Amino acid sequence: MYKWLLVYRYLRTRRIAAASVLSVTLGVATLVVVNAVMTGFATEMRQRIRGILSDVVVQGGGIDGFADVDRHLRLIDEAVGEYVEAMTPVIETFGLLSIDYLGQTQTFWVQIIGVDPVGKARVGEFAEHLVVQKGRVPSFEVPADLRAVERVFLEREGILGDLHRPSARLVPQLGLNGRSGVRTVHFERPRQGETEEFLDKNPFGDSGLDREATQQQKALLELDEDLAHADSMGLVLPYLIAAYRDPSSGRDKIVIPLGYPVRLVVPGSGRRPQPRFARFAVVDYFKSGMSEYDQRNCYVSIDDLRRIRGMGDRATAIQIKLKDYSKARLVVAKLRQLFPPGYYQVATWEELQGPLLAAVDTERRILTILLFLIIAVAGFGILAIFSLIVVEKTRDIGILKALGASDSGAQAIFLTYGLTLGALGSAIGTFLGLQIVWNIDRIERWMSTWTGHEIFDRNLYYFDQIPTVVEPATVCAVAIGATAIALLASVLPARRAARLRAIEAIRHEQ
Amino acid sequence: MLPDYERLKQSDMSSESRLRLHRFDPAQGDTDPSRGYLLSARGLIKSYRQGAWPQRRRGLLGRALDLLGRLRDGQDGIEVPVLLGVDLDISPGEFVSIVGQSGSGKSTLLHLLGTLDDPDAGEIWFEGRRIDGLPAPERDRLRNHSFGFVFQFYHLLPELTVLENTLLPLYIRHGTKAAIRYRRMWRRRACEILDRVGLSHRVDHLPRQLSGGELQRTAIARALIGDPVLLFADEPTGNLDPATGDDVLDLLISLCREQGLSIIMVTHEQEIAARADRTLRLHAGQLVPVSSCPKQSRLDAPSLNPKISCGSEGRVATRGG
Ligand SMILES: Nc1ncnc2c1ncn2[C@@H]1O[C@H](COP(=O)(O)OP(=O)(O)OP(=O)(O)O)[C@@H](O)[C@H]1O
Ligand SMILES: [Mg+2]
Repeated sequence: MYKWLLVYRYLRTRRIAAASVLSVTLGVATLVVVNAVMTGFATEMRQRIRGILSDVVVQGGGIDGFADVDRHLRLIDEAVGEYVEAMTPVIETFGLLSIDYLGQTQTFWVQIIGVDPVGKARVGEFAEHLVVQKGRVPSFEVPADLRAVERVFLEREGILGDLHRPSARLVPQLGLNGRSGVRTVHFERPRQGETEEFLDKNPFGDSGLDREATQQQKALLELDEDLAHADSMGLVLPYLIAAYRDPSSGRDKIVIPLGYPVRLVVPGSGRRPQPRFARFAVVDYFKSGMSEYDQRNCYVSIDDLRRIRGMGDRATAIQIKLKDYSKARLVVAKLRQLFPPGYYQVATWEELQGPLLAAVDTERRILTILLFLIIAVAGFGILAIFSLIVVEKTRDIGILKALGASDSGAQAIFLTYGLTLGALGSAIGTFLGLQIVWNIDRIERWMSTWTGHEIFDRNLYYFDQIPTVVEPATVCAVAIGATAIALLASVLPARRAARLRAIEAIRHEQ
Repeated sequence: MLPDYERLKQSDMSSESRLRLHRFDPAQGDTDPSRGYLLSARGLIKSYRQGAWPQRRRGLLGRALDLLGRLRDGQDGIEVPVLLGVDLDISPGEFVSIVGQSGSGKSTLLHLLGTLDDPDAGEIWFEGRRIDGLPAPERDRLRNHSFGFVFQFYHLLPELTVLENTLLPLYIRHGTKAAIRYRRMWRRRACEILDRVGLSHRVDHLPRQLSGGELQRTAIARALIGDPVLLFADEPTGNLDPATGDDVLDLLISLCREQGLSIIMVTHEQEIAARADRTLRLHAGQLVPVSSCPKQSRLDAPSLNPKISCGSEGRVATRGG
């Protein structure tokens, strides 16, 4: 009883104790805020990556993938069907995206992903990341109004003069003679019979040894004719290619409008990949908030991509969404038996993104440790203050002991004191931290205007708000940890109080 | 035995029942060195080493410092003998005063008897039990339950009010639960005692707001709240004007007479000392009876056998059983 009374009085009369409460408070508040923001970022990032990748991915065969996709799907369904919510085949390859804009041709290196829009939307967040079709069932169809837009651009710019005439037959002039390279691709109308001629003197192919490949390429070239005659296909353009942020207004400006004609060069399939060309019209923009993806990911219909690349029914990967992600390891293990490593790669999205996620986690852990050091510093403050108080209270401790208080009772006063300081600091710190987390955007905006610096650059992340996630377990751990440090800091002074001999303390007046 | 707080509730039990607590088996009388006395001291010796480095330091560093100090100051410093074989017997309900020069060791003796310090040699018996060298928890219990202390320098806790200071022994004795449950009762009791020492108007004041005499009376109230069997009072009236001092002394004497409280009081004032059942002088490290005690008539054989000189007949009879 007396210990509570004394602790209460010491708390009220010792202003210096408030300083140690304050240091614990600040440490805890910082830790809570930093953890919430970092967890928020990590969670947001994970969610986005996972949405883009799906839960489990079976991939193999490079950019040509594996044949007989239906059989693969069936095998997966038989093996782990009970855990699978949805799956869809995709083709991932790379390519060059050329846009004629302002009288010049701009070419970008892009990741081309052929998906079934409906299937893709089922295995992850796809529709959510589309700017126009957000929340709808996504489609790569080019609607009539966009066709009209496309036609206007084709005619007005005149840059695709050859292309927009359906009769035009396109054969690429490769950059073999040094006239062109990666940056731009020139389109020239081939003369009659030139195609075969070109193939025959293909400097990269030995037609005698590689007759099969030559056959395939011939077939492809015939296909080109169809492609050239057909209408352009729908393409989802990476948002960061389509738009830039106007620094003066802070708003995004879309420079490549919907319906705009673009050209794609992709490697054809086969033993000797040839560049394949196709025309597309922009039907949507891909905006996930991850700049890496928003700069590179071009989505087209898997059927279109198969046709362009001459892949038959192949796919490079099967994306699987699980009913319960906690079963991912089990599913991966089972699928690895089915699809032997070496031929296939079976992995969860986390394994695919391992290094990035690990980096983020490491960062958070190190920061937590560093911030705990701040609290440890507060702990030393408590140690010093308590040691002073013990010296100051030597006589009081002696009196208490003379009146029958036990050694452990004297010790308990200071342990209780430390515990109370720690708990008080933790409680206030937690409260403060949570308040900051919950109002972080307002605080950030206020600080930004006040200091004149933008603290949280929304350009960088494409977040409208600073993402925060408050993990109750983490908050509790921080609060308990800080309290424990305060308690620990009071152990030494408390033991000194316990060792004190009553007689020495009370023999003198002071 | 009743729980402590139950005992507390019967705090105003009759002197008979209180005395019964101190009754001992007469058959034990021969083997028990205390021979039925409430408190007996035999051959207490205590000396201090002055100039010596404080010993009992802990840890490697502490021991190293001890050694260094001893090397520097030559062996063990100067030996200052304070008590050189003190014998003392206190009967239940007896009021003994001790006088002596400043520095003669009166406070030291009280501390030894009250188990606050250990004698170099000698024995101390209390209620038929040897109490020197008891383990710390038992001493703590003894001091809290059976002894009351009025320290020479009052020693109140500056952060606590007069009331809280007074209640401190009870707070220490009982847990938080009891303190909350018996809050009202304790307060009433503390106010009662404070009233008796004339401090009822100062209950909620802090020590720094009180005068020396008020501090002293608070210390007396604190010493009495726990219903001690034996009260050690180190100059309890040192700061009081004669009238107030007399009042306080009246209170102590009435407790002595009515409730069988035993008192060992150190004082410098002849008149105060004279009101005790007997007066002893600490001189040259030994306790000797004061022959010029004005209340000699009340004592049976003051100078020859202090053991028999223990209060009134009735009390002796009660003790005898
Ligand atoms: N811890 C100690 N170390 C050294 N000397 C001590 C110690 N404690 C007491 N003494 C010495 O013992 C002697 C007796 O001290 P004590 O306090 O008992 O005197 P006292 O009779 O109570 O005097 P006063 O009437 O002034 O209160 C003094 O000379 C003092 O210096
Ligand atoms: Mg003294």
